Amino acid sequence: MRIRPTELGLKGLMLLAALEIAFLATSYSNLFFLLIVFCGVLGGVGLLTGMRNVTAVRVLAVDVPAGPAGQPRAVRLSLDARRRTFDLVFALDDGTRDLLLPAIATAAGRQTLPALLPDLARGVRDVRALRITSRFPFGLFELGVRRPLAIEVVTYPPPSLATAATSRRSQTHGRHHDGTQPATVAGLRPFRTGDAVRDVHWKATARRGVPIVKEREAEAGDARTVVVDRRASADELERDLAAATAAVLSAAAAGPGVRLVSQGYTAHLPAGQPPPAAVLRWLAAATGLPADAAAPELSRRPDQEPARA
Amino acid sequence: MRDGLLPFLLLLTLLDLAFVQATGIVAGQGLLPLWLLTLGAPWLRRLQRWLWCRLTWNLGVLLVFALLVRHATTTGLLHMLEDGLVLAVLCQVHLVNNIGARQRPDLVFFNSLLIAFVTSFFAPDLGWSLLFVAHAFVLVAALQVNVLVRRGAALEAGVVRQVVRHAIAHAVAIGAITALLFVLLPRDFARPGWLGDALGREHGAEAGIADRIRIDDERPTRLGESVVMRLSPASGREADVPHHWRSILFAEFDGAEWSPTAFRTDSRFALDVDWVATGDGSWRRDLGPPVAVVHVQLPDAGDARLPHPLTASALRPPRGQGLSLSTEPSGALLVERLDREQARGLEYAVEIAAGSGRVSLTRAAQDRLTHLPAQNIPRVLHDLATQVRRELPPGASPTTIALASRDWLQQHRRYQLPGEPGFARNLGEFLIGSGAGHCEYFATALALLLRLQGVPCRLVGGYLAHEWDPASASMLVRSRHAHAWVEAIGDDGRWLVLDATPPADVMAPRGEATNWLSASWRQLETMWSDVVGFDGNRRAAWLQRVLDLPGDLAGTAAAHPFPVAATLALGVLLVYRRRRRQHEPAIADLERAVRAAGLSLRNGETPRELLLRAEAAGIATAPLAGLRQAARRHERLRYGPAATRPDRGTPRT
Repeated sequence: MRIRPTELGLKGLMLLAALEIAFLATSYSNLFFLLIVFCGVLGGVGLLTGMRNVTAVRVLAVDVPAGPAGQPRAVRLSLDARRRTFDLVFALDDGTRDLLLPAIATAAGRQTLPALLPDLARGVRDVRALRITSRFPFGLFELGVRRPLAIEVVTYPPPSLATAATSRRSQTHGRHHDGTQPATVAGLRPFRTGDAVRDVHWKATARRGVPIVKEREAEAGDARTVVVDRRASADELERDLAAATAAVLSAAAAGPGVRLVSQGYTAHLPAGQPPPAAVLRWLAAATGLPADAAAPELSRRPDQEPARA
Repeated sequence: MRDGLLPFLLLLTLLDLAFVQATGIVAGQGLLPLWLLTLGAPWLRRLQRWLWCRLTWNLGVLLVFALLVRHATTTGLLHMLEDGLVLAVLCQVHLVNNIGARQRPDLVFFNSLLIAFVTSFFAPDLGWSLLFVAHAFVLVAALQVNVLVRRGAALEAGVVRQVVRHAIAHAVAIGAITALLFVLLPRDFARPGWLGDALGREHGAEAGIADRIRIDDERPTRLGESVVMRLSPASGREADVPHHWRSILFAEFDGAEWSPTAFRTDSRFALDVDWVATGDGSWRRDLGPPVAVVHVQLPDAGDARLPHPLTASALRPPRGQGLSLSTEPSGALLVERLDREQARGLEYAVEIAAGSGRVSLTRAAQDRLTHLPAQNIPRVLHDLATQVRRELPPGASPTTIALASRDWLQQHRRYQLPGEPGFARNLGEFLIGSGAGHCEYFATALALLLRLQGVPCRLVGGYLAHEWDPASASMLVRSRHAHAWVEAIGDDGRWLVLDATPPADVMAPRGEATNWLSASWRQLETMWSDVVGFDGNRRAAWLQRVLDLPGDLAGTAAAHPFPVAATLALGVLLVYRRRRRQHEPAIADLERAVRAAGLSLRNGETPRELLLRAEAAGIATAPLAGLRQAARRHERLRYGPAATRPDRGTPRT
């Protein structure tokens, strides 16, 4: 357990020290002694109650879905508080820093709490613990406990088609005009995470007051190959990964199937199915390669793929 | 500061005002504006957005601060604490009216605590203690609410209720632990303190018995509550305990200071009937047969004086232990060769005669007892003596003169403690009547009046015993009961006790409790006096009581086995019922059945949903049947018998 005095606690300690000096400087008085004992006990009870407060919480589950970089995401904490607890602040400890979740005022019994994880950069974080801190009851000390966890926080690139990755359709279907999306517009629908900005239907958006995008027709048997060449510079790699993420997510939404290809990695995503966690994890964890590394192998058949979703 | 905290800060500020009001340092309605500003804070806070309002507040506080500083400097820092208190409570009112939404209220908490501390020096009575109890509850609740609002959490009424419930429990726990530590923690109750003397000179001294009496001492006097003597009459009757218990006698007065009688050894100057040591270790003098016996307990006889009444005819140590006494040099009875251990808890019995003994004063002794200093005697004393004599017949006896002088002072002069507003700056002011005085002024004035009229007299320092404790059938004498009075030789050559201090001021009659409220209040007053007057002996007694507790309990159990067994059984039953209520059998059965089926209840899953999942999972028949039965029992417990009707979808069996 980690215990440290808060600013209020430090001020209180200084006041107590000053009172103690005044007490010793003057001749003994029962009332003065009683008041100093009261202050000391106030701090002691605050410490013990605070310890009881944070140790009463047991973490049953922490559900952190994969999410795009730069956007907060909803997470769910399942807790079991043996008694009523107050002022709990949760943070996911990934070894480098605490990912703070909003505080809750009170909890009791088993309950699932929705919370928002702040925006993160692309990557995969190994969360080894959930840190629970509280300043309850008197705000004099901040007490924290660490509950071991073993989860990954996957933050994939923010989907964007502003600059397309090196993408091509399979030879049997030829190229689309933009190389990544079918051209036929099937209708309109509300904006979803991952939709390209250029697909926004501005007139409909203005009319309805909410972002509306053009939904493209999924063509049966149509599949695209999205190639991410990781020999690019860091900025280019991020752009390519963002474009690949957009393709993956649009495939999951309504688009055609996608074949994601990169050095040492190939995955096939059927149309209309949610993207497998492994693909999102690869997009979150992908790193650049040196310029003299081999090019992506486009000809590899699915049964030869080294990594499969 | 957010709005959820405001009611608690308002309560704290109102209690701070009550603390200051109870001290009486601000006369009359002086604090009324602050009360109104505090009560109106919820509405006045809305004016914060106006610059002129903020400016007015800040300028007002600065102005009052300047006035208080001026007052403190012009009164020689004598009233520094009082001025500081007024300033502190003004700051509280200012803060509660002006603290911003993003500002922290830390200063309000600390200021409030300091006000409670400082006011304890001014008025450490039962009223203060009750205010402090209320203050503790509000402070604890305010701190807890502050923690939640500081996180930015929206405080719903339900959360506030829960926090307040917790705060009450915490405050009770803090109070109980504080009381326990107060009793158990070892400490030196007579510790002087590093700056004890310096501060004593500045801020006053505690009432007590001194070796000399300076009558121009204007320092404020603190009235200590520690019990210095316990007087238990053998008869158990309050009336058998004399009020005046002498510790030291003063015969020499130089115009500013009384000093002890210094000529007792010479028989030519004998002032009292001699004490004689007897073979059984006691001391006696010939005053006639005793009419009462009083057992005296001195928790700390550090000054070796044995207080006794004028009519004491014998002093008997307990259990035949001899007392080595000395009557030198002040006329007091002193215990010789008293070490520290003996001084703690000294006990003796005093036999009391009907009157004091007759003494024949030599001329020299009479001269000493009527001596007046050539200087420093206020002229007004002669006028007063003339005024008193004018009301008496010519040739009035010494006793008549003495009694008339005493009565005149009692009726025409006001009593007040040093440091209080209106206290006379010197004896002259007191004699004129432009200032009030304390017992030393009254005694000095009477002694000088008597000596001026040729009546031999002396001043006595001792204790005025008047606090009867019915529970222990004893008279409690506290350090604040230290007193000064006069003894004069009467017509028959016997010493008379003459107390010129108005009795209503120094021994206010307590009267009988007429209802349960006044009886409870009196009980609380006694308890609080015990706290304020707590000392080493009382601590030792409490510790002994705690150590004896197991033995006492075992003895009680052995003496009354059946009632004790019944009480224990009742306690066990209550605990069992409480645990059973907390963990209903139906829930325990369900948990067992779930474990037997190899499943676990998911978060938010009802027993019925669990049952459906178990059926879908195709678990064995026996555990499934047990699970169905347990789920049905649980539903019946939770929702009543109607919940398990077939049309409500009772779990299949």
